[in-house]
Amino acid sequence: MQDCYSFVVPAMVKTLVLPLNNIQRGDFEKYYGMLDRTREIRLVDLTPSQGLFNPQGYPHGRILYDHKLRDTYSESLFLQDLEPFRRTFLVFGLVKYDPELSTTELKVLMSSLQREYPNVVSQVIVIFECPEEDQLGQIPGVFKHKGNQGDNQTNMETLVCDITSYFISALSSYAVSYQHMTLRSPGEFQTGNTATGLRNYDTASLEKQKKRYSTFDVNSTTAQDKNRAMRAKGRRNKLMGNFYLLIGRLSDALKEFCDALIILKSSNDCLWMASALEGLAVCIIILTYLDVPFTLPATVHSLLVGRETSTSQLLVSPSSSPRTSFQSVHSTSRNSPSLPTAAPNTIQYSLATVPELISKIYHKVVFYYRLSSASPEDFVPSLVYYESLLRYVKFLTLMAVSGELSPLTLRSLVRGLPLEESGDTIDVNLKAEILAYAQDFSKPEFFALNILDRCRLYDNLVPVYTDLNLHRKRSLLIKQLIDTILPKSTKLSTRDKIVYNSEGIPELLENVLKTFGVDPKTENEFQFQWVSIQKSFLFRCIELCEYLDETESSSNYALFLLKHFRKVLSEQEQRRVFEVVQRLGSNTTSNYWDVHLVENAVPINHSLPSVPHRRSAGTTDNNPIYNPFSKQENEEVPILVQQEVFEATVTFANPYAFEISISEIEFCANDPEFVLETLLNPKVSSAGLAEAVEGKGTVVVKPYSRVMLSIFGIPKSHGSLEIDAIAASVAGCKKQKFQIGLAKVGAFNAKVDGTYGAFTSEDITIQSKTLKFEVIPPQPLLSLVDVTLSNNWVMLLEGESKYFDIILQNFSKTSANELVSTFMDSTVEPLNMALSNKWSLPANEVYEIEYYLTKRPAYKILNKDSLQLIEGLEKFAINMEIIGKRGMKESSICFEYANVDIAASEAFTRKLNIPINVTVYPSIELLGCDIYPILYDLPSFNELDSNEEHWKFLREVKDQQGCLSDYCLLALDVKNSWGQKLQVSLDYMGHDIDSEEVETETEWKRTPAFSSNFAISTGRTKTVLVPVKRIDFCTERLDRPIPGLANKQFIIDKKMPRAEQQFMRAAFWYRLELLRNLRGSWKVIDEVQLDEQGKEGSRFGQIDLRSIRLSSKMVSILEVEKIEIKLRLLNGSGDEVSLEKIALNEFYTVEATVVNRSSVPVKGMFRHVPTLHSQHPSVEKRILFNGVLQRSIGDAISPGSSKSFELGFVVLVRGEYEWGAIFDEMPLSPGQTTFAKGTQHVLRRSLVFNAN
Amino acid sequence: MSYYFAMIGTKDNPIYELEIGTYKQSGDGTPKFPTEMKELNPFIVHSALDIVEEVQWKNNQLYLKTIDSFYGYQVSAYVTPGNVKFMLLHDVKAEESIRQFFIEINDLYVKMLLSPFYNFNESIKSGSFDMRVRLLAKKYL
Repeated sequence: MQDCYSFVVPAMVKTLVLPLNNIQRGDFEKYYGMLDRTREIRLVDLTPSQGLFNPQGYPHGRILYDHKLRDTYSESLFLQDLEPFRRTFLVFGLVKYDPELSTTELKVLMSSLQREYPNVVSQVIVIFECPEEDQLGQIPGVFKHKGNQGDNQTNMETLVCDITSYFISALSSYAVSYQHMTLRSPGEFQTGNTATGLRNYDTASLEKQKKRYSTFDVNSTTAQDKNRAMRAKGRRNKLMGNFYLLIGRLSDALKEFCDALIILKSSNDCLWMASALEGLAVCIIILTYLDVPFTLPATVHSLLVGRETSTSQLLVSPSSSPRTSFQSVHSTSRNSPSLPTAAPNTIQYSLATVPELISKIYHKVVFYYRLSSASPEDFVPSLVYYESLLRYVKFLTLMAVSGELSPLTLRSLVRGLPLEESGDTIDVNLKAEILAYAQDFSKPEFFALNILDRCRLYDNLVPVYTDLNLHRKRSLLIKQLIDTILPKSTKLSTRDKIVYNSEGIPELLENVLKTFGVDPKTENEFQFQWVSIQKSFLFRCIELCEYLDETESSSNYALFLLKHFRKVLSEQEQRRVFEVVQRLGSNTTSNYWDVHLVENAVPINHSLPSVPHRRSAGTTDNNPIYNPFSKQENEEVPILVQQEVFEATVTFANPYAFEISISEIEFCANDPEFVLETLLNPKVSSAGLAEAVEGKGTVVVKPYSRVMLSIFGIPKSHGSLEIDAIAASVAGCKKQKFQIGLAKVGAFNAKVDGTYGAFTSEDITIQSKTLKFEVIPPQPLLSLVDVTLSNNWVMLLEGESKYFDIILQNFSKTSANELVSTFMDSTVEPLNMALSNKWSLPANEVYEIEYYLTKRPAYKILNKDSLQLIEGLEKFAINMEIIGKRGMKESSICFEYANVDIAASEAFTRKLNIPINVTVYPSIELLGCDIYPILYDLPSFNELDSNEEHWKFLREVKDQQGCLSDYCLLALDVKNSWGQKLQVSLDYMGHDIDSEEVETETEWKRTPAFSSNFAISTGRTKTVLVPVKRIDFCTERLDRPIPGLANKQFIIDKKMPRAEQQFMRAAFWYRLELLRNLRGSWKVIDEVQLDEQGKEGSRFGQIDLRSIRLSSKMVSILEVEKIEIKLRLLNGSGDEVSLEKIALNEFYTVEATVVNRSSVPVKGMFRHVPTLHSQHPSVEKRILFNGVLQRSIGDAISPGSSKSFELGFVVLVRGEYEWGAIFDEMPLSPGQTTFAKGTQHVLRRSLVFNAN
Repeated sequence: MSYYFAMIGTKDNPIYELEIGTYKQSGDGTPKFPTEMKELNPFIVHSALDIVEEVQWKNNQLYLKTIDSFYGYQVSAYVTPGNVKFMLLHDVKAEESIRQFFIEINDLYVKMLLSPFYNFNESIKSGSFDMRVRLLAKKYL
């Protein structure tokens, strides 16, 4: 089949090829192919025939066939007078030879063919594969193709020549019938709106035309008749010209056209003249193709070069300077090289000048067609005009593509062969000319054509724009074409499924989309160009593809729209597209369109108990020098445990106007080896282990909203876990991975939104979030089962202790081989606060605080031995003791446990925190304390109230020949702050100086040397006297610095004066010793409770004696002096005398012994100080001395040794005397100081006696 | 009389679009395009770019006059030295006033380019620009 808008269509004989006699499709196609290959028949090959169209008349000529399979032009019957080439001239009936086929049958076939196509010039039946000898008789119009003979194609050509001869003779008689017919313009056939003209094209020309008509009206009717006769003749000439052109007798055709032109011009028949001009142009082209020189009459030439210059600007003649090759073609062609100016009557044209000539002719064609539109009858039908225009545009395009009018171009033009592109750039002027003509196709008149014609024209115009590289124009055309094709209502598509051959349409649409800057195939970032165009065309594409059942393309476009055009689609449009997607089910095979679905994902650290912690493993940094430039890895990677659930909150966003459902949500680990299970609705047990997995749930996200979901995961292996995406199946799409928090970040780290901003792609980086975890091997997991305290509450009195059990269970299969307990209570914090500014605290206070922190925990674990290893899944109890501390309000027990693998480089511990609420009420408070010395054995000692326990104890000491001055009395003021009467017991252990133990459990097991029991009523205060043996510490021991209980650096205190420090140390050690030997306890005296609840019901506890503070006076009483002075009273014979039996006027001797217990030798002055217990204490004249009361001790007393001095005396007056002594230390040598200058030692126990 | 004015960047991207009617002949400035035209407007202007690219090399004028037509509507074009095209779709021929309009729009556009907050080829969202364009349209079209 030829291109139906080829330029040479007016010179082609249209035939219709039909299958006959039940021929097989395959056979028919084969035969048709054979027939179609013989399109061109030379007249010289034809047998001469009589009549109008004897081929011998022009043996150079060719007949061009256009074999069609469809009768396309029956609808344009009314145009056939004007354009006879529209008519189908020949009908071929193709029949395969069948031995059973008889002559009569053939005749029947023939007659039915004739009946069916009566208007066709000749009907022909061709029998293919006819054997050499057949029984069929000769029937006119039946031709036999001897198939089994040599070259098929040669046979075929001969056959077609025979048919052509037959046809020509038939055509002759047909043409003769026209001789006497009046040829009418299509407008005269007009019925209704079948023929719409190029109306109102140019109102100016219309008016001009009217004027002309009016002048004709004015003129005589004879002129009109003459004019009509001229027209008829001219039209007949033109028709004959067309017939000659069809039959290939070109010289006759040229002559007829020229004649027609001259006559029609003079009779002003614009429509037929334009048609004749068109025929002329085709004739010229075919002549040029056949390389036959031709001449045009000068009158015709002048017509073409005419005076109308108004539109000649439009048609710029092709740039001259033809190539030399054409000239050579021209020179070799034929005889006289006559130039247009050479012969005045005829003008000869050559290959080089033909394009210009054609251009001129067509200029006129268009001009006259347009002019004719004003005529009421002889107006040009739009179809004729546009088809003619299209033929010319196509011709020009062919020229533009090939670069020039070469014989090659002509051959491809005439034979309809594809042309090889020259690759040169298209001539700008030629292009402009084409565009100028093509513009007519967007005129309103064009849209008045019927749909079928319009589609055909569009269809042929599109390749023109393709060839000219005008892709935008072409896209507009295709859009228009689609708009034309698409039914206005969708009813058609649902009514019945019409099968369309939609082959190539998706490719075409894609091509057009690319012109608009849309490429649905690319996964790359889409660059918006002209959003309204892109959107609109995509919608059109969807409609078209849906109509054509091109599901895949249609859904591709829909998905593309959803993906990239969300912001410019209205709600309604979004829903519409989504509906398309769902209807086509395209979502099931494609990815979800919005890659930003997962907006965020945040791991929840505290959602589950007992997050493991990395145990600080000492120094990890080997570099001792701090490098400020080294990057500090501050990022804390959360630690997960294998086989245990973790949780993350994932935010899903739905920016669309429709609901989306999300299912099959899963975490995706970066490392595909890493096994990770995702749970949506797990039942998480209290211990944090997932027990059962619910079915895969579906989450529905409402339009324009976000949903935050808690998603749980269980890592099944250990190592480093990076979750960089979340897989999900959204809106029925196939499961895919979504990166978390995908965002485009521009040059300034600002988020770029997807609108058509002019961001260059280099500026934009795509960022996404990764959840990083460290997954460690399975760990033990302890969980609290029970605490044997009611409601975790306990009420205690100060110092009271209580026992309870904590029952734990290990829910993991992994055993715990390490359990560290830490006890916290509300008293710890203030103490730590106080410690933190310890530089302002003296060392003894620091010790005190540290003592409370370290030695006085609120809890004790009693069964430590049984907790060495906790097996997996074991349930066990921890026996606890709680001790009431003052100020304790809340407390907690923290267990840190782990399964420590010795081989592993690092260990992870978990914490289990058990809070226990405590209320502590004060019980026995120590309000104050003091120490009193026991200076002398009171004579009335025995008479004192012996009920007091301390006196009893002292008496016992005395009875055991102990020295009472070795003791002192510790007075403690205790108050009962509790609401019940309390029984208090204070014990004194007795000294064990050598023991260095500060305080141990065994310390308390010692039997007390002294014990005082008494009851105190509520709110009462009582002073208790405890006899305490004075402490004799050597200087070295006292000089030891105050220790610290925390391992820390010892810092010398430089601010405090030395003496003060000395005292502080001494006081510290004495107090320590004192506290070591003292203990107090209390018990509630409540008979009723005791009876009812037994022993456990009663409350008992310890008294905190640590509030004892020693002043300097108290220390001096408590300590045993370094320099001791002893006095003994001897009688004359040197025996010791009892102090009760001192008589007057008798000689006694006082033996004073100075013992040096210090570490240095001492020397100094010793003085006796006898006094009288009366108003006049002076002993002068009452006692006589044998010597002096004051003397030097002479040589220094070395450490550990003593010196005795004796002094005789006689008591003269009776009375009660007290004999004291003082030792004043002096420096050993001038300048040397051991003690402070003037240190005075006083006799602790003076001698008191009554002299009678 | 209705006008569709578009400024088109170098990548076929519209940087400014406006549909406006005339104020002359007692018009109220609202465009009166038929509905099917309204959708076609950008397509027509887009396809006319092909012609602009042809024509702009043929003369050294910035104003290319009427270069294309479609369904009785004409397209006039103006190419700035930066290859931004001003396209005007109109139904009445008024070459001189359109030329004036384009020249003034170019002035406006150059001022826009001077703004440090405006990048070349970006769509123009400035309200004052829009207002001034409307004023010019009122004045000339």
